[in-house]
Amino acid sequence: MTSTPARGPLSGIRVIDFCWVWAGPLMTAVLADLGAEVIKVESRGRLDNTRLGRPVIYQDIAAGDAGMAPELQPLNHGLNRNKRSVTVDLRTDRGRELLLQLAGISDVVCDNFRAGVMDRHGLGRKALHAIRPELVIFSLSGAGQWGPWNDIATYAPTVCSLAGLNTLIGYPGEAPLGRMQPPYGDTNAGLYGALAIMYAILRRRQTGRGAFIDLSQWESALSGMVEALLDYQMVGSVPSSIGNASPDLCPHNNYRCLGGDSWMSIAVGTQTEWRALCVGLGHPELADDRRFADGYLRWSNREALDAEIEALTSLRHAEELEQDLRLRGVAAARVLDIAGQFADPQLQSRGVYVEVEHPIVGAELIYGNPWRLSKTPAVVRKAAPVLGEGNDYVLKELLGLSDEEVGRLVEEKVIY
Amino acid sequence: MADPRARLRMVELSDGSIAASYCGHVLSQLGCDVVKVEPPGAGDRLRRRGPFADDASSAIGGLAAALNRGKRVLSLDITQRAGARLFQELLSRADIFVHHLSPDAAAGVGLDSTALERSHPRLVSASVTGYGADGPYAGFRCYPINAAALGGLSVGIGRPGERPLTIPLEIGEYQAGVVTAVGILAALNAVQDVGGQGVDVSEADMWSAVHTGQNILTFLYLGVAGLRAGNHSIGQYPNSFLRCKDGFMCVNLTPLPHWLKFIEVMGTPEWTKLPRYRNRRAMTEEYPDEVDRLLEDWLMRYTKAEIFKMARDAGLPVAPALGIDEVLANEHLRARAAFEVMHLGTRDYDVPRLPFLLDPRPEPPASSVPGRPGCDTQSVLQELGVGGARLDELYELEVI
Repeated sequence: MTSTPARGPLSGIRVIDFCWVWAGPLMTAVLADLGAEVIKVESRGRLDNTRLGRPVIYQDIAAGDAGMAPELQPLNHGLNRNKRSVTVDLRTDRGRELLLQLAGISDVVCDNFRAGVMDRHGLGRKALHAIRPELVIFSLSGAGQWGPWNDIATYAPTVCSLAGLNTLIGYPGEAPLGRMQPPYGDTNAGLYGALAIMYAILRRRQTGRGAFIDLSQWESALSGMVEALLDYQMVGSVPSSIGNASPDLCPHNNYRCLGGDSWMSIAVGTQTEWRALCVGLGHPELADDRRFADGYLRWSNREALDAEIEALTSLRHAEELEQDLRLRGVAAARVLDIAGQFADPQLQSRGVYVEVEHPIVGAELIYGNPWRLSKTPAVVRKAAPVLGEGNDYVLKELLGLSDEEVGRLVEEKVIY
Repeated sequence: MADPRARLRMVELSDGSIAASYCGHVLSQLGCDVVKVEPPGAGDRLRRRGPFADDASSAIGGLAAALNRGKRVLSLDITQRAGARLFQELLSRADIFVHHLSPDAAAGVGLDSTALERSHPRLVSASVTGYGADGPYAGFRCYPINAAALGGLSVGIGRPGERPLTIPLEIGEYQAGVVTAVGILAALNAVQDVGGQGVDVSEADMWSAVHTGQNILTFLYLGVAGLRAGNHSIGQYPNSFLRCKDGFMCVNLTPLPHWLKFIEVMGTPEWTKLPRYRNRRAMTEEYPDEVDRLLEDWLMRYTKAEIFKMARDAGLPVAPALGIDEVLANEHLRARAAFEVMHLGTRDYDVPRLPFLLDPRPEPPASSVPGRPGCDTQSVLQELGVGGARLDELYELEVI
């Protein structure tokens, strides 16, 4: 019996969540959206990074940095929605005992600490499986639980650099820029983590067996590199700054449109799409230009092709051009920022942005999830938890502690 | 899935789709028995994409080989009535179905989710497309560059005001494949309660909800975030990609203690004592390029390996930007057996395994690359009780 309403795919599954920062919490948010009861273990003595920094409404950044506004952090509100919070200090002996007890009545335990941290706190794999062999234990780390480099400090951009991805990001003929704004190295790993845990849970339903999962962010970033790895091994190419080139689509780029920082992605895969693009750009005769008449020619003359196309797109407003091209069957989409995304009918109608009621901030917009399940949807039910909102539920209801015992633990700062 | 006799059975329609192929690949690596259904004749377009080895010893390109290891391949024309019927037979014995068809194309062959829920009530059926199976853009053509544009990703890659860059290698397709697999596993968890259901994945939604979603949280209060900033990530300085003697380093020193430690590692150069370079908010917002040059003065004296060692000894997240050749040779990845061997043509190649080590291990079916299109047609159809003269007829009609 868990505290989440029935009938998400993971209803009845209890997750003890030691994750912090981005990758781990994103993964446990996926589980929570799917109906699992996710109990986040945190403590005022060591606030999650995402409870620090610039609070949105109350603008005192210094106070936010100092941890004085732990309920007002936007990043925390998105990543930790649907979860419960219990403030048990895992550095205390009594805290550890309580957490082991809690693990004993749970299904999944997750962390994304450096390798060895859970062991040092007496909450490692052996200790947990001794309490409950059916536990699915999941550890996410930058480079994996073991290996000659398992000690390295990592961030999302560093794992992408180590996977060879960042070298590819840049304008052709120039030094690589090597950066992107979203923390792809974290979000990508979070998705693979969800995959591994979902598999282990499903398998346990059939076999009754628990599992231990060692997920590496570096290896997760490596997964998307397969084509480049094969290009090198089969053809010998060591690319850098590849721009917007594609191996089999041409034209394929983000083209400037009229008015400021306005761009349109256009890609063509067939002769039909090529003709339709030329018509849409107002120059049907371009389709038979001897430089561009077929796929091979377009690829060979792609610089001239891009120049011709951009000369035409620069005369058009992006919204109108996008509509026109789409209706003609051309793959076109404006490059959107968050203002554009928020206004976009696709994202609005598909529930990508969701309103929740936060107990302190009030109504706020957060993001939804990336699939639609027809019968057991993934639901954003509630806002991110206030520190310790789940203490009574976990300590008294689940672990059976009395009011007096809880009072003592609060005094001793085991519950803090 | 631990018992081979209990393997979940999956049917995959993925002609030209990395996302659908990768979804099948991931589930195959987790123990599913996957049948990939290709159009008759030359089969999946991706077979012809390459790369191809110089010795041209293989009829399938490297990427398609890697994405389709361990799958059986059936050639079937589902637009012909006989083919459509056989396909329905195949689905009736399957637990999972994934496809990348547009809503119209799916409905045209009776494979939209409403039809499937009726005819195969225990089937988990997933579609992975650019814009999804319903909604205002459902059915519009969408390649990965378009999904990344709509999804708020490209606006954040490149120099401010200059051409937005898309993520290399169509990585969104792999992401979408993983998301689809997660959705399928979720639906499988619910089969006992609700029977089968549809899983609808949109690559554009995925970028928006998972990777760039945090921007909505500050949008109403602070305006647009996530815009491109060249070789920096927005946030405290430094969060940058900088030159060194023999390449580039990823320098991430956002917590103050890390920044101060790195200054020590550099031997506390005089400039770091000036008030101008002690104000990190100003450095981030007003003159990051200037501080880049100062950091690079130091970095350019050392190689990637030297800087990495110094940073590692100090516990700092500063990492080398590895080239693809260096990735393959990396001692840590090798120690972790991060690559699996794929035999293709006359040679062996290294391809990444799934990025987690699971104990107990899943038992994928044999990992060989698929043969020519249709090489498993007879054995798969035999399982449906189709053989002999009926088979000959189907070949003649070019249904298979």
